[in-house]
Amino acid sequence: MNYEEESFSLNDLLSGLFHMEGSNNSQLFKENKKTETGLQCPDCGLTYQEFTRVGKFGCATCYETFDTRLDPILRRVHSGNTNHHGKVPKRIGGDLGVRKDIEKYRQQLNEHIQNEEFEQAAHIRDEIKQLEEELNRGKGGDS
Amino acid sequence: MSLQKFMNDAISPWMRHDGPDSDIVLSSRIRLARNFSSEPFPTVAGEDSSHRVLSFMEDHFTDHSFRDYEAFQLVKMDELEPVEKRVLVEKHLISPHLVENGEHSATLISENEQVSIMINEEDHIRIQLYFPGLQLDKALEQTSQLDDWLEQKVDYAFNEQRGYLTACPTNVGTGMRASVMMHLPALAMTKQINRMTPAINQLGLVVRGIYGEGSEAVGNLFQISNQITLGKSEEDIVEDLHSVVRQLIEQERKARQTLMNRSAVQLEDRIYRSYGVLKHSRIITSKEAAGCLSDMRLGIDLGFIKDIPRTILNELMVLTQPGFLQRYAGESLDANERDVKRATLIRERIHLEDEDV
Repeated sequence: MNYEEESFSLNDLLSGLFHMEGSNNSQLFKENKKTETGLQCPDCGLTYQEFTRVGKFGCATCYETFDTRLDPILRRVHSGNTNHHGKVPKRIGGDLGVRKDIEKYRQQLNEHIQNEEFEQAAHIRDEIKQLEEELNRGKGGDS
Repeated sequence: MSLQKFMNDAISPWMRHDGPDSDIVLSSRIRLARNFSSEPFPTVAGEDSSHRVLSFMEDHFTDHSFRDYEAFQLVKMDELEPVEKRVLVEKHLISPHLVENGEHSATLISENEQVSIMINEEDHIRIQLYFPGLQLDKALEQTSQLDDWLEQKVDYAFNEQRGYLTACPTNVGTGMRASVMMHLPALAMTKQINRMTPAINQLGLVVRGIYGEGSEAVGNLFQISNQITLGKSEEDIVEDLHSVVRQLIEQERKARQTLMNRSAVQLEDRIYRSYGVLKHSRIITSKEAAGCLSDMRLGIDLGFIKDIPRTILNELMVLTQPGFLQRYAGESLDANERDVKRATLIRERIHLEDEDV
């Protein structure tokens, strides 16, 4: 219920990462660092430095602004994960939900083929075909 | 004003029902963090923006009902007395952070207090839903439906790669925190819980006391929740938590059985001493009360103490918090006065049950 400590340790982590990179001597790295720490979100005005100090984003656009810096941070906080594999909002997600479903079915299809379960594989192939048609119909409607 | 309703009872209406494994699991909770795509997060937002978010939520969701949940009532933080805010925190209906944010913060509470949708907390929206006992699947399903209902009106901050975008990187992805509140007196008494905690942490789950981080487990109540929100589906996160909770339940039952086999008289003695303290003391600190309440609840579970409902633990744990005590007294109390008031309240409450028999 109380997430204070979480964000505190995250601050430490972020500034830790920050200083670690600062101690790197390579000229290329220094230049990179200079331009990247100069990053500022065009929407809310948060700078990358403020972000590392506070440990909180200012708005949705921050995620794009600081994108090149996020992977190592997210990996540490989320046990190596950097990409979302969960729910997709129905309305603003558009056909993303369908595309994720297709992705999931393709994986299942491969597993079934490897296990030589051809009956199930055929069934899933039909499902995929149906979803793909759904996607195409949606696109046709838009244009 | 019907706000009084949320203040008067220490336990919420939904807590009066037993859920699966209620002897050990008090409640299951799912919390989702969501943000508007078009507004800066509350962490940096100015007055105007916070006001827009609050007005939007107020206009679109106040007095609306969703499925079985009757009309949501909007409770604004700036309209509450400090002691009222404290009471809502003690009931876990709002977070301390929501209170700190102040002016443009509010919460939409459902009639039975099962759902609370906090507005302008660390994120624009924090949906939380409780179920009695171990019912994570059901809680997830219903929270997700509530989320869909909100999403019909709100443009969520979401991107394909990172998922639901949140102010703190520790919540990004699913934005979901699933937690289970457990009463583990036997594992605590035998110190087994200390050995289990590191193993549980390894699985990406956290164990903490009920009133905040680092707090020792008051009344042997532990909260187990997921730490990781990115890279796993909501269902997988809940399944992982569920399987750990199942194992803890088994271990707790085993530990209780072992205590009964090896030292039944000592256990019975401890339970009745605590029961006696609660029944007769004139001054009691919150820490002593919590310990005794835990013993009494174990006594009820093991069948030593009859005719007292299990929910008395939840009820008295909340009722004897400082905010509630002051509300009951109708005045502010110093620590010594609180200890006296607490003892009185507990005595009266237990006496009430004895009379019913």
